Amino acid sequence: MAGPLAQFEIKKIIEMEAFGYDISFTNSSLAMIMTVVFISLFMYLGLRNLEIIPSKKQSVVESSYEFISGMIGDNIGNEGMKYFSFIFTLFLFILVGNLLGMLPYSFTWTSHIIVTFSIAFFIFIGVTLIAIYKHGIVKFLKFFAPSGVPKPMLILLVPIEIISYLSRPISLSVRLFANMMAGHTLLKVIGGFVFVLGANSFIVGGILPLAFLIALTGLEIVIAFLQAYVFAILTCLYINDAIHLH
Amino acid sequence: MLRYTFPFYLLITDTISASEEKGGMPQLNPESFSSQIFWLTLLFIILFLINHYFFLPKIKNIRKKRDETIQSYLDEAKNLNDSFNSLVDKMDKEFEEVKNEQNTLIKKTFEENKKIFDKKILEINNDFEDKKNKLNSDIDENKKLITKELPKLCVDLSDKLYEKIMGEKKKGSVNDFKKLIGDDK
Repeated sequence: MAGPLAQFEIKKIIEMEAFGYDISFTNSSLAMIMTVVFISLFMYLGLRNLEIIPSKKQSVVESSYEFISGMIGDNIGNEGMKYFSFIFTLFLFILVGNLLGMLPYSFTWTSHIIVTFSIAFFIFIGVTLIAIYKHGIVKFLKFFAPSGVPKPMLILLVPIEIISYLSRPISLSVRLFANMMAGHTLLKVIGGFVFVLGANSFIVGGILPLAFLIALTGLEIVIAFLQAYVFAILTCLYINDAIHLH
Repeated sequence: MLRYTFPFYLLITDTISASEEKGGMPQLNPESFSSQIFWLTLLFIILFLINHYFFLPKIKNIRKKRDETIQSYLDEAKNLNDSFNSLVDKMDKEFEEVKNEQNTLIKKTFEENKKIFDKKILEINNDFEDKKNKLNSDIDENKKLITKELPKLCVDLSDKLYEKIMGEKKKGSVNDFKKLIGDDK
């Protein structure tokens, strides 16, 4: 039986190379393409026949629009609407990636640290550039030295602020990656229990872990949504920090 | 045997063997990093562009159109409400005017009728007074006439009674009668 971590293995489907870098089409790439196709299909079907009084499909798409719009409005304000497309895409991309990963024999690309870190690092760079562009480098650097703090304290506070700022992409990416990996590993372990206990006790012994597995699958679906939400809302908060340095 | 009686053991050994075979967590294998970053960047950009230039403007437009439609309905409702209120105001005003006019007319008619009534009452009173005075004067006149005529009538009556009782005619005089009743002055 394959181990619980085997599900995260990257398998090459088509080998490719560009500028000396391996850009092979893998199971992770396939899962990402499925995510993009699923989102595009979801949007296309929802927005195919646009009506002023929306149909059920249109309502679902519009409610996702309203959800993100409300999130940006609450956390950034009207200035944040410039980044709406990015946050909307980010949220749906992660959410659908997480949810499609719940399907049997699929692949959860959000359980790979390099993917989550790339997204988080891009956000980190973007947010830093927005802050510098909006306020200038001096004001941006003052962000690490809060006003009104006694000078001796700054020796301690500035490094803490800098470390806290630099750790943002790490915390953002590790949170999503660790949640997804841990969840799927746990599902695999409990799934193993169902199989092994069931096989050794004439099926009866497998019932309890199966019930637990079902409950855990429900929990994982909630976590899939929650992590996408947390990722999007933290992005909003970082953008808010960049726009209104405090 | 131990392998089948202890599922934990099985899973743990499987985990360890899988990790050993592939060199630990597959996530930490840097061989796949470039491929994952490439496909992530490519597909995220594609999805972003599709959303930004195709789907999201559609949602924005339909929402804008919906807001405009709702606003136009609200404006129309407001206009209708305003015109209704102005009509109600106009109606109230007209009603008030009619009420005032009615009150004025009632007051005027009442005063005119009162005048006519007072006049008639006065006329009736005057007429009544005249008739009363005339009647009084008639009564006085008749009383005088009766007072004047009464002795003569009494004398005639007593003459006729005397003739009936005594069987002979006798002519009495008014003066004697007056003396008799003590009214000879």
